[in-house]
Formats: sequence, structure tokens, C-alpha cells
Amino acid sequence: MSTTKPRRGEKPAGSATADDTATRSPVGPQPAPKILKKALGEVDSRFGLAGYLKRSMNKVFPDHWSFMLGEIALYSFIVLLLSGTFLTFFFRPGTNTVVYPTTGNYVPLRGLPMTEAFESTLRISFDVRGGLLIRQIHHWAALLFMAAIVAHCCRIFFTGAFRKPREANWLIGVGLITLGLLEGFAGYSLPDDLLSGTGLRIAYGIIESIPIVGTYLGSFVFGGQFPGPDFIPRLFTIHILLVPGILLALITAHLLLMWYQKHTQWPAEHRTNDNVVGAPFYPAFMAKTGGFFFAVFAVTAGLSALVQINPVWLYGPYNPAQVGAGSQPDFYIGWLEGTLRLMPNLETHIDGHTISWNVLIPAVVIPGVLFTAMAIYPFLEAWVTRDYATHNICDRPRNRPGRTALGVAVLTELGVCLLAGGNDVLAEKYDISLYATTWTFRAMFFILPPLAFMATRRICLGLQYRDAHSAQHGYETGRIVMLANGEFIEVEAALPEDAIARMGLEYRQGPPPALEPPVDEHGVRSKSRHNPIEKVRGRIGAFLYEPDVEPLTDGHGKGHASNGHADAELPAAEQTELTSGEGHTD
Amino acid sequence: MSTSHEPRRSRRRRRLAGYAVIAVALLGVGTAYGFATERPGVAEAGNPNQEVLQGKALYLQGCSSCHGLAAEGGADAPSLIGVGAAAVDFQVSTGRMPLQQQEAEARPKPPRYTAAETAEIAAFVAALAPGPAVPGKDQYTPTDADMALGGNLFRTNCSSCHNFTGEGGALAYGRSAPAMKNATDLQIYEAMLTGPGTMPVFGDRQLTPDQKKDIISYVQGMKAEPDPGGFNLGRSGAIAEGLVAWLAGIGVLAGVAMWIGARARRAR
Amino acid sequence: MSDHVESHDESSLRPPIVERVIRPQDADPKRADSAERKIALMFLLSAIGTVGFIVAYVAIPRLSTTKDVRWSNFWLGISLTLSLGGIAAGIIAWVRWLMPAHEVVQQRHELAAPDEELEAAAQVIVVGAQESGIARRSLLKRSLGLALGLFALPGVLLLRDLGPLPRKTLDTTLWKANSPLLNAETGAPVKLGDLEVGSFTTVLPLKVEDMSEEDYAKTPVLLIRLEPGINKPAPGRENWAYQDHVAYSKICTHVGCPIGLYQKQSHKLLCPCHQSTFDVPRACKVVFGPAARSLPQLPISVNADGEFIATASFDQPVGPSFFERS
Repeated sequence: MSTTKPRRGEKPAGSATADDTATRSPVGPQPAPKILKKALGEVDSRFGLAGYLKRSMNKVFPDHWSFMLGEIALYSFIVLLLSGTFLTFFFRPGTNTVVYPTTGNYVPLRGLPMTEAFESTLRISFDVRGGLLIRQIHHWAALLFMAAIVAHCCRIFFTGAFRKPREANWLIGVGLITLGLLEGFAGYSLPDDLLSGTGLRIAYGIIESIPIVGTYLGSFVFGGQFPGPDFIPRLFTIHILLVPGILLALITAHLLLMWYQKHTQWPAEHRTNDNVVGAPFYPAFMAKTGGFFFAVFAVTAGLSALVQINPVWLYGPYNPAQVGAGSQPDFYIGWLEGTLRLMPNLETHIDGHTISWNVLIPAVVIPGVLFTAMAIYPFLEAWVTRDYATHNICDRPRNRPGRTALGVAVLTELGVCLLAGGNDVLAEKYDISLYATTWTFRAMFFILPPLAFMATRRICLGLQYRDAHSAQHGYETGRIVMLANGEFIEVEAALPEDAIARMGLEYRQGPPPALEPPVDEHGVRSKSRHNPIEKVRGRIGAFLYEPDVEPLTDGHGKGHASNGHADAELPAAEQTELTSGEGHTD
Repeated sequence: MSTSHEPRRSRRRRRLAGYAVIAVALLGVGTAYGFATERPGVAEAGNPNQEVLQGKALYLQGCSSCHGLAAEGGADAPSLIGVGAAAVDFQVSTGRMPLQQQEAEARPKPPRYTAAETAEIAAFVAALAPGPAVPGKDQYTPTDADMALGGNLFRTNCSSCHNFTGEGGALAYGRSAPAMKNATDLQIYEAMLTGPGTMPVFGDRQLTPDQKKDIISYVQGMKAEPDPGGFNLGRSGAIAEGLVAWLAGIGVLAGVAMWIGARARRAR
Repeated sequence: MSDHVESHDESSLRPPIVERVIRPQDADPKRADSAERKIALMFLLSAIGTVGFIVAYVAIPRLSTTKDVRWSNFWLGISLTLSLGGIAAGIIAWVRWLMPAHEVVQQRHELAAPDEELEAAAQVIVVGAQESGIARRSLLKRSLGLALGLFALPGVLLLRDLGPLPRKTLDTTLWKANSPLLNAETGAPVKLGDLEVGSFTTVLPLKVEDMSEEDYAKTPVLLIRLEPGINKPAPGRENWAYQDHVAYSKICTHVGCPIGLYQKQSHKLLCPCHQSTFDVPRACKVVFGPAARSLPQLPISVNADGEFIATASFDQPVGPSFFERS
């Protein structure tokens, strides 16, 4: 379709590529329509927003796919709110017994007594048009929410985006993870089916194991002994009111902080610690993120159309004397299930009391340690590396071998626990002896994370070396050239500036700062060298952050005498010609 | 072995005669052998003794090496005295017996014996001592059974080994509770009645025949029951769902994010 | 591709460009129009999806079979996916293909205020505190501390009636001497001879409907008939079994799942939740898994009518361990 007159907003034909240097925008200033100015005026005179709007619309957001993982979580949350509201119009959180009608749509449960909660879930699934779809959307969105949070948390961790000034956002994030876990557990326990009811029984058992207060806490939370007539209604309140409210507040704070502090960005050309390069909020970023919301919603709907999730009718109504083989919680609880299964049966009996280490350690202590460690990590890392500066550039994971290796080790541990949580399913599907799986995972619990740590650190250092080498020597073009003296060399071309900038060579970890001498020139003992806390700080630093390879600040870590590459020993003229890839000279 | 001066036709005849003698000898010996050994054949209808005898022959041929010549059992196999026809019918019709190899538990496989042969072996074992008989068709066919009640019974007695809908489950010591996907009504009844392998016994005074019918109706009904939510991931639960959420959900969305953030194509 | 950063000018309308990106469609209006048509097609597909959703919804006035539900879920879901996905693809394509792809830059402002400002803020806090008088007036400070410290207590106290105190409820169940062993499904008493060798069943002291849910949750008991001579009772418990029938609590001592998994040949009870394994002939001692206590045993006998009865209550609490348990 050819156009003879320029479309609205475009320059006249012939100047399609011309920019407008006066305003730097390819489009140029436009006269604003009167009605827009009037509307803006009405808003501005009441709220004073015009200046803020202008600044916000011009706000720059960096472009990278890994920055959108948090958005998956955010938009999943919106989908959860929408679908959840629909469900609350039909769900009845009652533990009173009702009978599924003998003419009910789901034949295998006709005439059976069940709680009202379960019966209303059946009605949503089998009687309300679109009810099953919305229920499935809700559960798939919950899984996507938790998965995206984990992926996003990993991205933040591995790129060091939790450092100053973003520690508070990290803490909010840790809060969001724990609340999300609780919310998901509460959510899938609401229908009161046999699978989730078993999970609630386990939860009561875990609470009971807490010393001194366990039985009281269990009785107060559940309203008495298990199952407790008030528990499902309380779970309902927690799931639709309390936790979503707190989540909404935390997510808002999370986003506001990110908005105000501006997003981090990867190292590249033009990008410094003091600027942000990317696309403006309006219209580009708004459109990208808005489109992504529809994408998240579409993927959730697609999964709900095609793949069944949480088919509570197959599990049947909860009955404390019944249980199904291969009972599994959702994956974000699955790692806790794994720790419970792997723990040996340790219990101590002191003075007429029991301390159940077999439940306490895997279900209370380990998650407590994990979430506490996550919460304090930014402060711990800053203390060990003595790095209190503001960081707005993302670290490439390879440039921080210690942190990356630590993260991979923790993820490996969580992965082992997650698989261990499904060991009976694995044993059944793959014909492995059940006890063998338990023992294998017990061994892997201790062996794999250190191995993963060491391997990851090595890989990071190797990648660092390769980056520095490429930056210094260029990349191999594959063209072989014979020099005048008969020597064959491979032509190497220098990397483009942008590629070198993206390596972020100036952001590598390097060794920790030099320590004070133990005794200074006046014979005075150094306080920090002899302070036990400082000693610990130094030890952790050495363990995690000091690579045992000399840091490659200029790319000459290792000798390269006879590997046939063009290097500084050649005459400058030849070298220039060769590195420009033009061919050889003699 | 013809001499060079014999005419050619008679030389050929002598050679042929040699072959003929060998062929006749083979046929004769083989036929005589065939008549000499007892050949198990189809029992004549209405002749139980004949059935037991045929069954005994089959038993001696295929089962006695582990279960003993008098079905008394041995180091590798339990005694069959008193197990009843139902147990034999179950084990043989599901192909579990004869065992292919000594392992933790017998695996179902294509049955080696025909239905008639199975009945004969069962008759032989039943004749050894009284035991549960093969139930009649009206006993195991779940017409007018209560599927919902059966489900409740299943979840109390069966699902902790066999999973909520009979998809199977892992047990200790290398055993497993199998999936019910290939089980017939009769086989399910017989399994409950005789408790094969490490499965407990659910006799007719514990789970009445009506209750057994209800359970069969539930199991078979659940196999036929469509999954309203879509692809059922093997009805295996949250592990598969989590895997799909990560791989399909986060995977696709990360791909979309990569599309959004990808470097724009430059002109020329 | 020029890459110089243009000077920052406060009065400019848009952020300055650091990298100008000219895509094929920026240089060629025909390509841009073609891109526009492709985007329009995506939006059109979305509209078709929405219409499809409406059609699929009204096509079934009332769901009545599982097949209906499956059909409905599929078509509603697919059309919704198309409806949303079309918008998603259209908007994203619009951004990538038609909106400017230039990289623009914005300076970060120093978050920290200059020292004078910080000093002034600190001083305001100090001056305001002095104005309130709290620093000088220690009586005020202390009484405020008392009031504020106490004021949260009613909130905590209100939580007291969330549930009863556990007291001794966890220690006992409804089982006592002469409780009948009733079939959990039918409520009929289990008679001697009902169970074959290698059978097991779930029994209760009362019918389900005659118990509260909380009592029901901890009373199920497994009655198992072992082969003759297999049972090895602990000293003092020889008469807790009756003719190779033994009874143990069904509630796992780990975290409380019901154990329904009996392996007849190895005489083991296996809890499906976390694989705790109990050796039935040896008083359900734990042989594998995270459970630390053996299952409590219920002493049983048979009454004059041949029905099973309990001869005493459990000698210990059933279910998971807790702190007050010895």
C-alpha cells in the first residue's frame, strides 16, 4: 500500500530517516488537541500532576528479558485477584456436612456426604459455566506466580541487584515469597479434598512438634483438635482478605521503590552507574508491559484450557481415616515435603517431655534458617566484601564467582529436597526401590551442594578468563594467514566496543581489599587483624570471594607465547592490518 | 557311494533310497514319541476329572519347578495348597505367572496360557485343597453397583497403596501396587479375594460381594470417566503440574519476554 | 549507527537518544504498512476469539455431564486464550515493529540529599523533639512507655478464645475397655472369622455419625490378622493380641497421616506420606523413615458373641509426638 501523503505523525516523503535534532524525537513536537489540554488542566489543578506525569512518561526503563520475570509474578497476581474474586461468588467455606445430590453432575460422588466447602468446589467445577476454567486459571496462575517469584528472586540474587540502595526491596521480596507460599497452601487447602486435607493434617502435626507452645498454637490456629470446625472458614479469611491485603501493600511498596530508585541495568555501551538507558515509559514501555500482561493471562488461559490441574473430584472429600498413595503438595511446598521425608527419626525424651527433632528440623528449623539467611544476605555480603557503595549496574553472574556458586549450591539443595518430596512418585514411575530413593537423596543432600559450589565457581572463573582473553586478543575469525617468515597464524579480529562493554570487565569481583599488616610500623597491633569478628569476616571473604586465579584486570593472566595468535610481538603495521581482518601482509 | 561303472539311474536310486529310509525313520520315531507322551488337549466339556488331569500336566510342565511337584512350595515360591482357583486364575490370566525371572515381585505381562488352559490349572490347584473359587459373572459384573460407595470403600482400603483412582503406587522392598488400567472386573475381584503377592486379603466376610462390586464399579468407572479439565498428566498430581508450570508456563513467558526485549533488526 | 550521547537539555520534550536504531520498516513506509496489517490481523484474531468465547458459553445452556464440562472448558479456554493472546501479540508487535526503537538515556539523580539538607533534617527532628518536651519530661516519657507498651495486650488477649486449651485432650481417645471394634464403613461389629489370614480392616469404637469429627480423626484402628506364630508380642503384652489378630492405631506417629498400606508378606505397615515403616509382629516398631515412635497398640479380645472388643484404652497418646508427651 503506497501512500502519497504522509500519515499523521510522519515526516513528508523523502525524509523518512531524518530525525529532528531540535527535540531528538523522531516524531517531533505536535500541537496538542484542545480537549487533551483541558482534561490535563482539570486533573492538574486538583492534583498538581502535570509535571509529574510528564516526568513519568519520559522515565526510562532498561530493556532485557530477565527484567520481566518480576512482571510475570505481578501479572499472575492480578489474574489471581480477578479469578479469585469470581470464585468467592460461588465458594462456601463451610465444614458442615452436606450430601452431594444423587442427581449431581459428577456421577462418582453422588449421594456421598461431604463438607460444604468440597461440595461448592464441585458445583463450581461441574455446574457453573466457565467455573472449571476460572478455577484452573486460578490454580495455574498461582503456580506461575510462585515460579516467577523464584525465577525473579534468582535473577536479583545472581545479578547483585539487592545491593544498596535496594536492600529494602529485597526484604520486601523475601516477605512476598513467604506470604506467597502461605497463600498458595491456604488456597489449595480450601476445597477440603482428601489430598489437601492430608496436607493440613501434616501441618497440624508440624505445629504440634514445636516445643512448649506447639499444642497450644495448634489448638488456637485450628480451633481445637484436628480438624477443627473453624479451620476452613479461618483459612478462607486468611486466603481472601488478610494475605492478599498484605501482598497488595507489599507489592505496591516493591513497585514504588523500583520506580523511585529506577531499575538496574546490564553493563553495556553508554550505560554507567549513574544513568539508565532504554525505552521511555510512554508509549514504549507501557505497551511492552501491557502486552506482557495479556501474554501472561493468555498463557494461563491456554494452560487452563488444555491441562487439568488439581482435580479434587478424583481425590474425593477429606476423611481423616483415608489417604492416597503419591500424595504431593504443590511444588513450592514440595521441598518441605522432601526435607520431612529425608530426616532421620530423631526424638529426645527429657524429663517427661518430647522434642521431635524429626519434625522440628525439617519443617521449622530449615525453612526458618533459609528465609532468615535470605533476608540478611545483602547485609552479610556488604559486610564481608566491605562494599557499601551504591550499585545500579547488574553483575554478570560469572563476574561474581563466590556469590554465584553459593546461589547455585542453595538451588541444588532445594532441588534435591524437591525431588525427594516426590520420591514415591519417582520410585513408582521409574521402578526404583523406594528406600533406595530415600537413601540416595539423603546422600545427595550433603554431597551435591558442595560439588555444585565448586563446579560453578570454576565455570565462572573460566568464563571470566575467556571474556578477558577475547577482550584483549579479539575473537578468532578462522582465517589462516602465512606470514613472510613462513609462520602460520590465525587472524583475530577485535571485538566491537559494545561487546567488550557488555562483558562488564570492570565489575569483576577480584580479591578482597588488602588487609592491614598485623603490626604497623610503630609496633602497634592492628585492631582489625586481631578482632575475632574481623577474622571471621576475612575468612568468609577469602572462602567466597577470593579467586585463586590472579584477577585478569588487563587480560594478561596467563602466558600466550606459542599458541600461534597474533599479538604485540608483531610489527604494529602488520598487527593493525591483521586485526582489521583485511588479509595478510608481508 | 555308487561305483563309477554303475548306470546313472541306479546310482540316483540308491541315493534317494538312503534319504527315504532316513525320512521314514524320523517320521516313525517322532509319531511313536508323540503317541507315547501324554499330550494335554482341550478337556471335554463336563468332565472335571479330565480338567484336573490336564491341569496337572500343565502344572508339572510350567509351574512345578518352583512350586514343587505336589504344589507344596519351595525356597522361591509359596505353597499353592489351599490358595484356590481364584488365585490361580488371577496370577495366570494377568501373566504374572509363570515368573519370567526371580525379582522383587511378579510383573504382569501377556499371559502364557489360554483361558482354557488357565481354567485347567486352576481346577488342578482347587482340587488340592478348598480355597476361594473363581467368582461367577453375576458376582463380579458391577451392574447396579453404587459407584460412589465403591469410591469411599476404595479410598479407605485401597487408595493408600493404589493411589486415589488406581494409578498405582510404590511400596517398600522393591514392591509396588500396580495400576488398574488393564485389569478386568474379574481380575479385580480375584485380587481382592485372594490378596496376590504382598497385597492383603479382602475376604467376602470382610468386603462383601456387593461391596466388592461397588469397588469394581468405581475402578472401572474412573478409568472411563473423562477428565473435564483437559489433559490429565497421568492423574499423577502436583509434581507433573509443577513441571508443566515451569517448563510450559515460565518457559513460554520467558520466550515472550525475550521477544519483547530482543535487539531490533537494523536496516541494511 | 551513531553512538554519541547528545547533550542533556532540560527543556527537551523527550529523553535524549544515545543510539539511533533504524529498522527496515523505519526506512521503508511500505514495510511499516505491512507491519501494521500484520498487527491488525492479530487484533482481529483476538476479536474472533472473544466471539468464540461467547458462542461456546451460550452453546450449552446447562452443564449436565462430565463430557459437557470437558467440551465447555476446552472451547471457553481456547477462545479466551486466542482473545488474550491476540491482544498480547498485537501490542508487542506494535511496540517492536512500529514504535521507535531508539535507545534513550536518563540520568539518575543522587538519592542522598546534600550534607546541609541532611543536617537540617536531623536538626528539625531534634528541635521538634524539644518542642514536644519529651526529652526533658522523663515522667511523660515513662508513662507513655507504660501506656504504649500495654496497649497492644488486648489484641493479643482477644485471640485466647480462638481455641480451647489442649489440656489432656491429646492424651486420650474414645477407646476404652469393652469398646466394640466396629467396621468403619458399615458400623457393624467385626466378628472373629470375618478376617482371613493376611487381612486387615479399619475399625472404630462408635459409628462415624455418633462421633465428633475431632474424635473421629484420631480413633481409627487397624485390625490385622497375621499368620499363626508370626506375632512376637513384647513382654507383658502377650494378651493384647487375640488369636493372631492385632490392633494398632491407624494414625502415624510422625505427623498424623492415616496408614492404610499393609504389606502382607513382609508384615509391614507403610505410611504413604513420608514412608515411615512399622514392623507389625514386633509391636509396630519403626524400621524406616522419619517416625520416631512405634504405633500405639490397642489390646483386644473377643466377647461372648464372638465380636472383637478392646480390653483397655491405648496406653499412650495416638498420633504425632508433642512436647507434653513423655
